[in-house]
Amino acid sequence: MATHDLVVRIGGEGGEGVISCGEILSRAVARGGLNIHAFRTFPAEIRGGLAMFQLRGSDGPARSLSQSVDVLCAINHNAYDAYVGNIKSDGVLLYDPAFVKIDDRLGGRRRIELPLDAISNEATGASRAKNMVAMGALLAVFDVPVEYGKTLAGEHFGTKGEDVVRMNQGAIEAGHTYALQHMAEIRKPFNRIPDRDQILVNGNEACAMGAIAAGVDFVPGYPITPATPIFEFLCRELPRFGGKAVQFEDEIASLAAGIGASFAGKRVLTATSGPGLSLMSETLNLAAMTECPITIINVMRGGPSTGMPTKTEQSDLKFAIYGTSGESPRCIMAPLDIYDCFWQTVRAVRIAEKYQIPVIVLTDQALAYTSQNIDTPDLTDVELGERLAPPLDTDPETFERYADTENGISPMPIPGVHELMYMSTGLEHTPKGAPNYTPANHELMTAKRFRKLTALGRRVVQQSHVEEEEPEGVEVGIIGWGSTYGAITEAIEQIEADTGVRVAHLHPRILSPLPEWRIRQFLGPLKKLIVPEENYTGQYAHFLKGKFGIKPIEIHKAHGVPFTAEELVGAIKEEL
Amino acid sequence: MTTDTALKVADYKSDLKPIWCSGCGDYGVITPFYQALAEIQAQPKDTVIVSGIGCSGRFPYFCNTYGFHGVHGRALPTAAGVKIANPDLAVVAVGGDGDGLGIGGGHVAHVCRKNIDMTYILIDNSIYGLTKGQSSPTSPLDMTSKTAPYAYLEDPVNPLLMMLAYDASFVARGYSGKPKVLKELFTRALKHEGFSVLHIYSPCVSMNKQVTFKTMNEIVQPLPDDWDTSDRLKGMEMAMDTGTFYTGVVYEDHRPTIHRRLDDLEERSGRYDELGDLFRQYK
Repeated sequence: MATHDLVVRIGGEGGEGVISCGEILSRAVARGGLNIHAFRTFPAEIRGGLAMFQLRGSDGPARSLSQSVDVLCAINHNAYDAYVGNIKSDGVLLYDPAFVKIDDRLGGRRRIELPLDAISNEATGASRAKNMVAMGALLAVFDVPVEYGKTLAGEHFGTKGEDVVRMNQGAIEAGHTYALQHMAEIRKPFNRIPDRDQILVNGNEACAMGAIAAGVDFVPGYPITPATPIFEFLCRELPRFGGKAVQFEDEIASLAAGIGASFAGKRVLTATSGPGLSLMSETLNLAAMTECPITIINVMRGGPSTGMPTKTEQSDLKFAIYGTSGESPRCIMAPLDIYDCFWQTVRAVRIAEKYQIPVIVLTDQALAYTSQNIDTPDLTDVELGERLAPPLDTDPETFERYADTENGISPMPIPGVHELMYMSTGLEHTPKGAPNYTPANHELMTAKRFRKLTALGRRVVQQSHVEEEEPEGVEVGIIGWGSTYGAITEAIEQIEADTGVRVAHLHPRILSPLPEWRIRQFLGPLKKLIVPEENYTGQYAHFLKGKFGIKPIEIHKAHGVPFTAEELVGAIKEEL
Repeated sequence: MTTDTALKVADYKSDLKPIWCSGCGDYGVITPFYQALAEIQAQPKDTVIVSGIGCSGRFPYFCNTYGFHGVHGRALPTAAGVKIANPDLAVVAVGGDGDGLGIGGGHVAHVCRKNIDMTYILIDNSIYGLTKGQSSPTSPLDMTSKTAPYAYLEDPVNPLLMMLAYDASFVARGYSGKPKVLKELFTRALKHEGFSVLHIYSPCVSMNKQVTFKTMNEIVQPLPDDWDTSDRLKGMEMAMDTGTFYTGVVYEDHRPTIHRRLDDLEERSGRYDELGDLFRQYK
């Protein structure tokens, strides 16, 4: 069955309500029974600069952003300027003639006047509801009942009083009526699937929900773009589940407090971004050395240094794997879409607790600010995983907190619970926890800590296979990681349709320790391996190169915006 | 050990013998600390001592309680995490002037603001002792050290004034040459509900030749008997008198801890029965 897709981009001045327009529209379209993929960019300033919201609605899987759009809704001339080139040749420009001056860059593409300012003034007596006029018009374009938008606007503006709600609903109605008269031909014959049990969330929200599902009960934090919404979410929601979220004075204090709480028996998670992860690197090692479980969601942004806080990049991978003094075991993971953000967070906390190691989950600004409607997670699938505790009748004389066990995992007493007082220390220590710098002890304890990672690696092999085997006779394969999953999947579909060349795809969720056996199996028949990454230097490609002695073809993009499927199709075809 | 048997001072000593230099002031700190633990009958399994790096960082190794020896300068936030995680635990943070006022100085204001119910033992010797004699935040101006071979060019931090300015809810000062006084101060600090700071001067006999037991003995004096512990401003005035080293409880205030405030928060936010309640907000 053919699928139908409609990509709409709304552009305007930051502060003109582009984002709230997009958010409400997204939810209405999702309720209307389409799969949506919504992305936004905004300037770092609260007001001013160009803000953009892009909504893709589809009756097939809407896995990625699209570079070109079917509909551009330009609220001001800057938006027209920036995006006119992205309108498909059969696409259409909706524009406010009072603000947008059309020039020959539009070419032969259709345009339809949408006098937002005039409609808003006529319907509400003010200009400021023009974002809601746009929303009403776009509801008509997506063929979604106007009531959905009005109900959602009522919830959105509810706290601002009845007058504000009425004004915005009036604007929606007016925009919708106008569009029915002028834009009927843009509509697509979608096959809708209404009444699904779904939630509409972005990557940050999915991670935060995952943390709650994982039984996290202490969240220390420090605000940093673009990870702040995870912390804000947990500050709001965690107390409702009996947990505590507390803001500290910096990332160093935040992770130190997290380790203290983990030592005291809590399940701990914190969220940060590159600069914050840098500050955490010393305390991260302390967690590894004291074997205190802890999970860090690192929402990657454009770097280095302050870099581009509101833009995306996959550039913290090497730092996450190697950014440490000395050698300490840690696990690095990367969810591949919004749904996966939920489940990999659950899994990360489980791994941290079970192996008593720090786990870093790498998401990025693109995942963090992409919204999708996903099936409501089935909580019966949540596996918590418990920390190994000593039996309550353990003899304190012989008890060893850091016992040298077969898989490296040692029983961890909890203060206030066990009568097994011990020293947890960042100094090299004996199995009992006493400081010791002898060669034999350092070798013994280093090996003990790393054996946990070996044990985890064995589990990862069992868990990280993709459902289907690679197609027979395939010679070209792609390994990706993280948020590029959707764009790579769609690019492969397109390439196979265009050229008939089969392309295999592996997208490990645990990046380190590497699922070595699985990757070897994947590499086996390949003549060419392509590794696309949103960074300048090819960080995962280098990691694979070092482990397997292979020479992947690297595709890099360090623009601060995600790969689109169209871009990857072009780049991959060049290598075929 | 069971809770119905009284614990003795010896019960708080671990099997590890302190490894401080002979004559180190820190012996005069840990002995009254053991005595205070026995005085309040602290339960070892419910007690956590967190330390940073430095000679004083070894403190928890010598105590028969739970201990956490973290990284340099982070004893306070680490201890804060322990206490917020489980307010039923008795939590003590311990560290030196370098650890608490130098690398970790930025954390002090914030534990004070949170009024975390724990005790901070700030053991001051005006020198980096463990690394054998570099200048510290409390080294006097002009004092020579290995990193100030000609003269120290900075004015010292005034720890007492700093703690009062940040409004720690309990501020006391002691001296390791007066262990009896210290036992009383420890006992009161441990009993205080809120963030209690005990600034203790403990001379380094190996590395600091300028501030010594001898020079300290000349300036140490108890606070007057009628000292008003509710007068913060007066306390600050006293702290600014650098000619005399007054010991005793300088300031005490009773206000809610963050633990109580967090409990209130749970009431304010309301409870969800299950995650499904949250999912419904995102349909």
